[in-house]
Amino acid sequence: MPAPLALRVGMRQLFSPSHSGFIRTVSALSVLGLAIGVAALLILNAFMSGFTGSIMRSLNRVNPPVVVRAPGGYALDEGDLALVDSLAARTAGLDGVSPRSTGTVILAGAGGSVAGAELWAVSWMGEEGITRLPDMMEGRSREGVLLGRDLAGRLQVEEGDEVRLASTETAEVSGMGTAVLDTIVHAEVAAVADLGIEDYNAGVVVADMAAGRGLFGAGAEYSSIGVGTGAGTDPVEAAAGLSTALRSAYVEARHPTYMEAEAFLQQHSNLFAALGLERLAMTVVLALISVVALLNLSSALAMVSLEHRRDLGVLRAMGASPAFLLRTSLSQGGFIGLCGALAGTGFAFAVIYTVNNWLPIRLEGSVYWIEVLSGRFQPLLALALAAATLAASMLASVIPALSALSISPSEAVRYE
Amino acid sequence: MNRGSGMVLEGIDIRKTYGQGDTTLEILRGASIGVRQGEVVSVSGPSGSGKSTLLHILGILDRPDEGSVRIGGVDAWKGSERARARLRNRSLGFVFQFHHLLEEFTITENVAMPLLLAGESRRTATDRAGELLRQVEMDHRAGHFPSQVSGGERQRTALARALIREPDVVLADEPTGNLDAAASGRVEKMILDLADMRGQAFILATHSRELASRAHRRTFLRDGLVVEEG
Repeated sequence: MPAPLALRVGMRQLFSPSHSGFIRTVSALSVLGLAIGVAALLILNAFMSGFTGSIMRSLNRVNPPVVVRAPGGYALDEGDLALVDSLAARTAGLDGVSPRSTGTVILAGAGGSVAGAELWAVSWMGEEGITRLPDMMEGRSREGVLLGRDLAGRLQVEEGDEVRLASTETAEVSGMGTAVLDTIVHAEVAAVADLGIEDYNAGVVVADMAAGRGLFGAGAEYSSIGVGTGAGTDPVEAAAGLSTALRSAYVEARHPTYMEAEAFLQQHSNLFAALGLERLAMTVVLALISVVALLNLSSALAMVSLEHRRDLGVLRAMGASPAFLLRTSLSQGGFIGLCGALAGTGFAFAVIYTVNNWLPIRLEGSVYWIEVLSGRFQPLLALALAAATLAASMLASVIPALSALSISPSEAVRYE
Repeated sequence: MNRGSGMVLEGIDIRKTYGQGDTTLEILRGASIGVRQGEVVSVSGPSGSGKSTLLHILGILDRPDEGSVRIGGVDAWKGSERARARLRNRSLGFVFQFHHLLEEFTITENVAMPLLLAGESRRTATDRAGELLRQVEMDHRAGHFPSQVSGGERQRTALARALIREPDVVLADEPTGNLDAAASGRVEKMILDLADMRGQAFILATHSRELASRAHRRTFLRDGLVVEEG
């Protein structure tokens, strides 16, 4: 099917080899401007969402999606665990519970290296399907401990080596002012793993619940109870549902412990809100590139219509209606907008692919939590940006078109 | 067609004044002119006398301050702009002094353009353009761009373009004004042959005494009025 006449006339006016290269140059510059604007927005959003997504994924790998705690830091017991388990089973989207005890420990490697760390005492069975921690221990003895990658480095230990753990929870200060650590546990390093973010890699050791209890000198007490979620479940909604049930159990069923559930990532909501705000601000700033590009497009199309001013008069003398000439200009704006959007999207995709596969961006883990920045190309955003660019480009072509139409055909055909 | 007057195109009591600030210039002061089917009417006059203005007004490219333009008996300025565009496409053909071909389109595409604007298919328009190009002896240049042909060839192309819709009247503004003697002669002969053989009406604005002398009716623009000669 042949292209509509207005489109054919518009394209000839832009790209015909019969006229000077001036129009082709300004058209190409307009495409370039829009492409830069689209690419900047896509690349920014790809890396901002990649950064946020990496942190979220890293946190989610080793933490349960929903965490139940007693406000004030009170310890939870088996009765609390049983209640959470039964309520979770009745709450849509929740799947499995796993208790944790956490506390500060001092670790010493065989060579005398010492480091402070946070001990997560977990139920390896309970963690199955809730976090990825059991995967890191696959094929290894669960009686040993799992060390964060950098912590193992600082302690100069590898898998199979022995470490000593001393809990500061049970430390006492003697009359001479010296700390007396009365509980020291020897454990084999069962696994050294990448725990996702720098803080965890440098300062977390994971052990079986029994070892934790021995170390902390505590009974069957837990710091928190993790709850898993099913695929596609929104942890925030699920946590809210569980909290309601827990409040009801405390108020109506007289359960002795008041507990609250919260999505784990909500604990970092300030960070994610700040990242979201930063992304919004950057998007607004980079969107200005597109605004400038659209102004450039409008002025380029004004030049095109000035260059073809006489032709517009001739076309009207031949019977072209104002609507036809408006469609011609819209087709020019639309075509340039489409080319700009496609070129920008292609360039952004190439940059993201190159960074993800060949030229990784290294970050300082102690500052940014993650060490490699990856981009996430967002097809829906690209589609929305292409549509917006196309629409805005067509809108930008209306002003020069109306300006050209304001000239009488008589005046236009006299134009030399 | 206005059956009463027999005119296919008629301009009645046309007034047109151009002004800038306090200065005004009254170009047409009640000029009237008409053309019948198959008639060639020439409009002569010195430069600046208003020949082009009169042709643009008759071709509804410009609006008169007063007076009316009737095409086929219908007042052209009574309808919408869309209706005037249709009228220009269907009933009028234009030939300009400097041909005014569209530089980005081939000779064939230029000639076919009025038919394409009327909604005809590309094949039909191209076939018809080919026939007309043969008639004006331009078929050997069909695929060329205007910049690749001579001034006389461009004007013959413009003539073919003006004729492709078989309009009621062709308005030609100095059609030979920019051509050498040989090319002028060919274009003049074509215009007169078309009037005789096809009954095509022409209004020619011209400086050329020779072209004016061969018109069926000669007029002269004097003091903003159209005066019959001879």
